[in-house]
Amino acid sequence: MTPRLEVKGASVRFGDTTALDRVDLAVAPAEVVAVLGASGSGKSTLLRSIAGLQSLSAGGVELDALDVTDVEPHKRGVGLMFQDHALFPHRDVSGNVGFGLRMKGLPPAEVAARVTQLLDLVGLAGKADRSIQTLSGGEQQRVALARALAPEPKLLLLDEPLGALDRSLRERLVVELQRLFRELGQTVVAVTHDQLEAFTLADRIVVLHRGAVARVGTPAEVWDDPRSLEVAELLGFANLALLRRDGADLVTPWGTIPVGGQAVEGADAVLIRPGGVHLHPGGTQSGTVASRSFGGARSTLVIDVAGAPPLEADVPSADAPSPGSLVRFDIDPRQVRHLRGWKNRSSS
Amino acid sequence: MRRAANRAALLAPPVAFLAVFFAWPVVNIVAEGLRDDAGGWDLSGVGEVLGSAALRRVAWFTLWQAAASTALTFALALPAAHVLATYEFRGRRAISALVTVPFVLPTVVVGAAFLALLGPRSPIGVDLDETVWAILIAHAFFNHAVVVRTVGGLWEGLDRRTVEAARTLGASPWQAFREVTWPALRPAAGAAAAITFLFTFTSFGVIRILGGPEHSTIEAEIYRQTADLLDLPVASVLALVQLAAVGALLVVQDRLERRRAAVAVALGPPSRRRPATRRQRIWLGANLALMALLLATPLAVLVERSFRSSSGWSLTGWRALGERGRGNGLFVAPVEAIGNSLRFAIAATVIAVVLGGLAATALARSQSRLARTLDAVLLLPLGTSAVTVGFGFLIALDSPVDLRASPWLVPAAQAVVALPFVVRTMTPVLRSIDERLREAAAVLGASPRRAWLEVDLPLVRRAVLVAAGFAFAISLGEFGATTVIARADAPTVPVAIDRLLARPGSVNVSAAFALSTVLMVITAAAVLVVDRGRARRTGARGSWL
Repeated sequence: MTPRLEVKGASVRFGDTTALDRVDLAVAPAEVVAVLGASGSGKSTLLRSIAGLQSLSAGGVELDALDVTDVEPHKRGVGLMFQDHALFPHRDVSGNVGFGLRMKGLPPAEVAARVTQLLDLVGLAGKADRSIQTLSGGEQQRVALARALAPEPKLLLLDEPLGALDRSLRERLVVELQRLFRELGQTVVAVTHDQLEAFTLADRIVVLHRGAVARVGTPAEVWDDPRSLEVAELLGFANLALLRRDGADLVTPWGTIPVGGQAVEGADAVLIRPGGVHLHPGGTQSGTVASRSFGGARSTLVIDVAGAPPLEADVPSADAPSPGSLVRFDIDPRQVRHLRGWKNRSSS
Repeated sequence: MRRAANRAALLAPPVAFLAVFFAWPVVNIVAEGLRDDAGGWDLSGVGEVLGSAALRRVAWFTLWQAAASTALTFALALPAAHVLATYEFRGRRAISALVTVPFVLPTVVVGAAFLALLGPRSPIGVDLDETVWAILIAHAFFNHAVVVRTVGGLWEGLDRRTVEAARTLGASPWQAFREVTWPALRPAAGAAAAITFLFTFTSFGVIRILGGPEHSTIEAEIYRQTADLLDLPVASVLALVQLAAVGALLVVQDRLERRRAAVAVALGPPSRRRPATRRQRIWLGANLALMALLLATPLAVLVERSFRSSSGWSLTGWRALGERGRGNGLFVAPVEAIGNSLRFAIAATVIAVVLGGLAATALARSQSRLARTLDAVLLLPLGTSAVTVGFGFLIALDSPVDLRASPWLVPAAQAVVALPFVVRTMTPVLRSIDERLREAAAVLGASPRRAWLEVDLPLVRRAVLVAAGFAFAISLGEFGATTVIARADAPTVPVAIDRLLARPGSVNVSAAFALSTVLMVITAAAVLVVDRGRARRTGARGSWL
């Protein structure tokens, strides 16, 4: 199947800084891809390049196998939902939603009908005549979404779609978005710094680091094995250490593990996933619980181990020992991952 | 490169216009004053000015009355700004709009209003005519809106939670004002002070009517030296002195404006509250009463006096508007001045808005030093003696084409005066348009031209309306240049008012007040239309107009 979008070796340089570094990305029709990255990782630049708002220093963009690298934004047929929405302040809700349809030259009656339909879809029925300034943040987000969807773009781009909203609203809306895109069969590339948003929304995750692709995979794959130190840190993993071996054994500051993890070429670091620390009285290692944070069904312990950095452990809340307790534990070799990137970091 | 070329093309017409109708006449008249008959330089005027105790007194008076006027304006307008920016009450919108009216009234009308209120026939029995107090109060009346607009515009946007944070940290209301609110307002207050000082420093119309022989500003003295004493060397030196002083002031103001931009101010949504305590209600009531006294009374008395004659209530003043001759100092019936004024002001508005719009578009797209310099250059007419510009027209615009009899002469002069206001009003709005709105239009399928039509134009349309309204009001009220160049058979309303007041006879005085009433109604209508546009405007907040 031809990909809906194909980005080939896209680079963007601003003077001496490289915002995008030979990025490759293919998105299939009806696929939802989330681009995850810290601020400054180049994710917005990637999105603007796909929309045609940013010209590439090298590489190209194809839509349905058609090279659109030099096509102006208004002729690309790509929708973009801006961070903080960028709604037209001088137009009411229907004026915003119908804008793209008017640009297509649709007759007013058709525009009006389609606007009504879209407002229904995003849950804003009856608010067509409201002025933008009177809308809440969540409503503005819905208008922005309806506006971007209205012209039925081949590809919809979302820039931090839920960025400014509060947590509970975000959690609700992200589920709505996911269902909506699935129902519409909409191809989407969404940019976000929030991993939960990315995991919920996307079929596939692309992690950007310093303008380059650091990891591609399904949410489960990326979460299970970050493969590099940058990705592990972006996802908030602790328990990272330099990779050392003693024969077949893995030597970590928290103890030696027999044959931990699957070898990765060029790996120079290890990650012990928080679930990989098993507390039990017969454990081979020991430490003191420094703190305990309650997280619902499970709690996170920070364990001080003599001569090692603090170790994070994820345990059922019911079994969580209180701070100050002495605990014994083992590290589950199946929860150890090998990562690249320790060298890069210590040299920078 | 293409963008630079575009900017140059946009800037060429306004720059050429100012070169011909501003720089050339001013340079000519100043040079004329500083040359002897043989064509050599004659700097005796400089010595004459510096050596004259009378002229030193004029300079000193100009300076201190401007400082005193600014102080009085702030004392009266700062509390008003507070009330209008932070309280919600019935009629607030209407009052906010009406408070702007005095600022756009012709200075001659302001002078006439205060002559009616505080003159020899004062209805409240206070004769301050030819005293400094009449001048100061008239200046405070005129510039009240500058402070309310500039400071209040920022004040209403301040995030009130910063004050609440101060209060929870133990600050009294006064301490919270001093420690939190005032530092945020100070740059805007500085800008308002500079503008008020500038306007009062170059005051002419008010001084001419209320000043008497004792009190003269440099601007009024330039007129007297040129028109009455025909002493061009002295007038030229005075014009240079004023230009230098105003130039220094603009530099100071520019600094303040930039500091204003640099200060990070926490802005929140407007959050007006109804006065809750007895004290707040008294404070609100007292301020509204003071505003009514300062701003409404003079205008009410002006209207009332137009219906008075020496023998009581009468329409003779209004009837005299239609009569020619009769020793009114005019060659035409005063009512004809209204038509002249409207025609000239509309023409001047078109010139100023088109040229100012081009300049503002170019300036908004660039942050370069050249742009900043041009920004300052475009403000120069604001500080230059309008009287000097007028006389400059008379001696400079005779060749290669004699423009002095052209019907476009008065509109050109008025456009020179209005242009800085147009540029100042439009540039910040053009700058404030979020680039992402154009991008949003583009990804929704709008070509660059279409995006300009759909996004830029609607967002700027209101700014254009605001600029046009002010340009119209300013052109309508322009006095300094117009009084010099208007043909005797085609006076404008301010010129006619001045001529009527200079003539003896109570009918002439009543007619002057009647004409002032007409002008007041026209300018007030113009500014209220503008204000409706402003209320719906989005974008730049707290600009000084």
